[in-house]
Amino acid sequence: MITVLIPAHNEQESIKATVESVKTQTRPANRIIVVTDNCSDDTAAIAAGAGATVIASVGNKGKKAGALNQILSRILKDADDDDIFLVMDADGRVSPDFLAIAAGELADSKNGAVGGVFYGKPDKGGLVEAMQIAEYVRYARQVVRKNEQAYVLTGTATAFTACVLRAVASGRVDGTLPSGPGPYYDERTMTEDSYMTFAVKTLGYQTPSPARCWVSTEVMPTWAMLWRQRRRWQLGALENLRSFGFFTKVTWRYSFKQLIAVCELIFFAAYFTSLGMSLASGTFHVMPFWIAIGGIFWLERIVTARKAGPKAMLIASTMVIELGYSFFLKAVNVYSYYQVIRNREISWSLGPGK
Amino acid sequence: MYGPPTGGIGAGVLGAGTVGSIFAWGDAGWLLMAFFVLAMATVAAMTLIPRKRAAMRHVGPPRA
Repeated sequence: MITVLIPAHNEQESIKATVESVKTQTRPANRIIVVTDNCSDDTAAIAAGAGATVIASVGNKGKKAGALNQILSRILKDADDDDIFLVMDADGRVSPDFLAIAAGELADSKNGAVGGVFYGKPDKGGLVEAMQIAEYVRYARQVVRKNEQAYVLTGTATAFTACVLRAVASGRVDGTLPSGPGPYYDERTMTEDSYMTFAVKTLGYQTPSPARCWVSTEVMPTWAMLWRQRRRWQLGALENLRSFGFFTKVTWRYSFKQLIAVCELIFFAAYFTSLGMSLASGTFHVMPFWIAIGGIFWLERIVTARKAGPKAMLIASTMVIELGYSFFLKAVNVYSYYQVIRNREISWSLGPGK
Repeated sequence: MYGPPTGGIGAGVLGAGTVGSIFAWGDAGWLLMAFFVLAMATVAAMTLIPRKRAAMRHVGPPRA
């Protein structure tokens, strides 16, 4: 049995298309449940009109995680261990054979969850949107090249088996996993999907992310919104790393990536400082060897953006725009690290696991 | 939703190789930086090598 769970908070603009994308699956879902969470618009009526079962959350203060916990607490007790639950965002659209492929993968008991490969919805023309679309395409390429294993079980769409969700709940009680409010999803973490990724992997399961299980999602339309989103992602990642432990068999790769990102930051700053100094002192000159090395990065940017279309390749070929975008993302990281050091924003709320 | 912590492999050092004069060979700091840039360049070069062709065919944003 396959159940699709769609938590929704004021999603009247997108919920119909989301439900439609689930209804047209090659392997149909048995149930499509839209969990309306503190909605003040017509999400419930539109979702019901599109054919979904609508259940409202009650007194939920745990946002998306809280809404999911409420519905899972209600329906999971009647589920068989191999029943499948696809949890997806209300503004996402899944590929037509998502459920069929996910069900096939989850038939293998070593797979605990199947994450979608996410893409930005078609470009609306803005630079900030185009950059995110290219970034997502590069990320998808990276995931597929790494044996189609998910780096993060994206909140946009991930399928779990009932037994894995139960195992997560048990782990949160017996101390195998970091504890916190909520039986399944942690309601205090800023990024519940990264928590779930670490949890499923810590329990010993694999997390495939097949290329054909794609999901399209909204990209941030402004730089300010992108800043807030990425800040939340970064702080959430650090928070979850801290709660699970920075150097477990699951988390060390994620910690290593953070370390690489810090190195990039330091060298990035050193590079531009020294460039400025060499220009100012008149010692600047070009060396063919390093031009060639720069050429590798230039080529990598263009080639990896290929599937995002000619516009993305053109942007990548200028290098300057890519550098600016990279600067932006690094500035988010710097600010996030600063906040962690100052201990202002990050909650460090989860109790330690074993 | 949560994405990769950085903007992509090599993004942070994109263009770092275009000015070689900044590397004063013999200085430990610059050698370390040069090593890092070369390591990242190797990773970037490896991402250009075609792999898993069957699955890669499905990589790409959905059409509207």
